[in-house]
Amino acid sequence: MNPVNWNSYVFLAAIVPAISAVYAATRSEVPGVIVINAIALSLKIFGTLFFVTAILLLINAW
Amino acid sequence: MDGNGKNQDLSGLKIEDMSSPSADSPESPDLRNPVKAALLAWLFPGLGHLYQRRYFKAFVFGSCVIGLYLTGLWVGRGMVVYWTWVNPLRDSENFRLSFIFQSFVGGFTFPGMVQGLLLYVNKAPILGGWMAAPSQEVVNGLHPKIGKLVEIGTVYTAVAGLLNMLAIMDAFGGPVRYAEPEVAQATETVNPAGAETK
Repeated sequence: MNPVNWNSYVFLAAIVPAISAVYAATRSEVPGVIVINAIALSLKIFGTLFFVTAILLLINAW
Repeated sequence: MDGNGKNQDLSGLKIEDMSSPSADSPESPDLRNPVKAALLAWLFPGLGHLYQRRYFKAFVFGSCVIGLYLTGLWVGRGMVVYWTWVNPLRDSENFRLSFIFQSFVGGFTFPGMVQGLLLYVNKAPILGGWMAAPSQEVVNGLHPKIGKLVEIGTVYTAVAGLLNMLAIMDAFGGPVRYAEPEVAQATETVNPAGAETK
């Protein structure tokens, strides 16, 4: 288990849910709302990253 | 005049309800002593919310902040959190800007502060040099060994500190609230009442 060989996306994927959860927790007191907002925010960030990466790959392949 | 007075009272109640909901509302936690809670949240992530009996948020803040911090410390081989007492204007290379953000994790960074202070007064480090500023040779040798992980570890621990800053603010002031459209409607009810008196 040597993180030196891990892809940078692994670190990115690990930090996004934590940031989303803390942000969602500062906006509500209801556990269910916090969980749903955290998941939704994580998916939005991942979706944006996927979209940007796809465009970059397309440009690179062109 | 009576009608006018009633309308003003009602609108006042509505606005007050918006800014500070009733105590039994799930969105209005009992903050107990906010200053004490904020201090506890800084000392140990999640402890301030535990003190306020906001157990779920204590779990979320505690696990996320401590998890990120320890992960950062692990990937950075424990050499990404340390403090040096130097003047940033004179010795910007050795000034640890990231430690300012990391210090918001609180108790976890105390050893770094103590070791930095001991170094400043020319005393030997304690705790086997844990979180003491590494020598220049060690820092230079770290990059060829673990490469980008030095930066990733620094970013992780700094982000953990910044996230705990949000948790501290939440412990002090409760969840963030923005003005809702109903506030505007509540204020509008005052004006028609004023028109009634004419």
